[in-house]
Amino acid sequence: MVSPSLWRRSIIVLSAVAVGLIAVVVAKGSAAPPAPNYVLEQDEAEIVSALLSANDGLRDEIERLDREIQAASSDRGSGRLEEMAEALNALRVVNGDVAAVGPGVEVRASGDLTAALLRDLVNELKSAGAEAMAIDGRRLNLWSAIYEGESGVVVDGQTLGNAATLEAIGDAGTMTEALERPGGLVSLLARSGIDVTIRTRTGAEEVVLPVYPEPRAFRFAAGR
Amino acid sequence: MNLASLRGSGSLGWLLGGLLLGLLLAFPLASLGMAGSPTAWLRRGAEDSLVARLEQEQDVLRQGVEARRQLLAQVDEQAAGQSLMLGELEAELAQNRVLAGLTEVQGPGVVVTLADGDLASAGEEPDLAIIHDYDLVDVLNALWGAGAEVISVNGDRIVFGSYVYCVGSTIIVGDRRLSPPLALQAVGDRQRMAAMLAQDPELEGLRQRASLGSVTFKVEGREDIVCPPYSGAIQHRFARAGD
Repeated sequence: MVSPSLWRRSIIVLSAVAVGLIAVVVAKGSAAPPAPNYVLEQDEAEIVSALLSANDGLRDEIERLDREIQAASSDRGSGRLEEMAEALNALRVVNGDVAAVGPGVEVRASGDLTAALLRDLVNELKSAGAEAMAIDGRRLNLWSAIYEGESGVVVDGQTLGNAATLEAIGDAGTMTEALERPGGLVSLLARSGIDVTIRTRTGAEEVVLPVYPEPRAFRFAAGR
Repeated sequence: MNLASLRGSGSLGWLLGGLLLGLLLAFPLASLGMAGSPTAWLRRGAEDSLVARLEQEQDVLRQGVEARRQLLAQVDEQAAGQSLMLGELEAELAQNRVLAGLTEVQGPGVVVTLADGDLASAGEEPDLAIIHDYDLVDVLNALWGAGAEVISVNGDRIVFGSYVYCVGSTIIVGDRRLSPPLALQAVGDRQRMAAMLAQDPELEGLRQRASLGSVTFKVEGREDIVCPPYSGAIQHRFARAGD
């Protein structure tokens, strides 16, 4: 049999514990709104998704390199020549050393273009997997620079007008989706008074990009 | 039941003890984020370990890619010695590998440090004390504009497909999640790159924030910089060589 005083003390202690818990939870809730937690979870989902995709790409690259190494080790004849030529062409496309052809998008931006906004557009297309790009028919490269000139935005020495056309080779759906997602770059540019139109270029309308105009040679960097 | 009767019956001690116990129990749970969402803290732990596991996996995969690229270059070099045509192709391949960022290079250049400032003293504008993705994009652009030949960020080589964006407090560069401080190593004309970083009007905001002590933006010339090869995958699923 429990005595009445023990009952009373137990109730007092339990109530006090509950009050303590509630006080901290309420204080925590009012001090920090739930939004940051939500944002963090969204961020982590984005990071996980990017890592999964990157690791898949690396696994594909390892498989491709293994095939190339196997072929190179076993075949010194014409088969290897073809493979080396294929690898060379792939790198030439990356380096802008050869014209590039493929499906993709044409993005036309018109309005008060700034160099920073154009850099954002290029960066966004790269993040959506653009493999080769050109602005107003001029090929972009790793070392391409976009900056403010005296009479407008300048891309690698070429001054643009009030509108610019970017052509990018890659997955047209992914690139369009990335640009048009809610809160994405198209809506951001619209707020800055820049009108953006996106056209898918596949099949007979595939994107064709010219060679980068000046050949690149290093003056300062040397192999080790 | 008033305070006097509680004190008289000795229950006040029990009440205060219970309250203290409640607070002690609640603080650790609240600090784990349980107050915001009952499952949030469990999920955070799982996602943190998943991110760490995926990043470890990426490191291993990148090492695998790098080792295979080196082996392939050696095999090709040996083969090139046996045939004139293979030799010409190998020479072109080697040159294009260098330009694409697939080989280690060294040379004179600059090291640029970008670091967040003290958020506690940033007052009402904490954004000013943070290095943002656009700061990195602007500095990279200025370096390329000043003739940088090769750039790496925190030991990761920048290649054509490298992109930059912010996720929370981290900056993603290509496939890598980086947190400031960021160390950019650029090989090229030291004077030209340093002058561009000191004068480029588009970096005025960054320079001002640095001069106020909100962030770190430091440029140092170096005699010899070593930039590692890119160890990620180069995407070429859609683009093919034209005529």
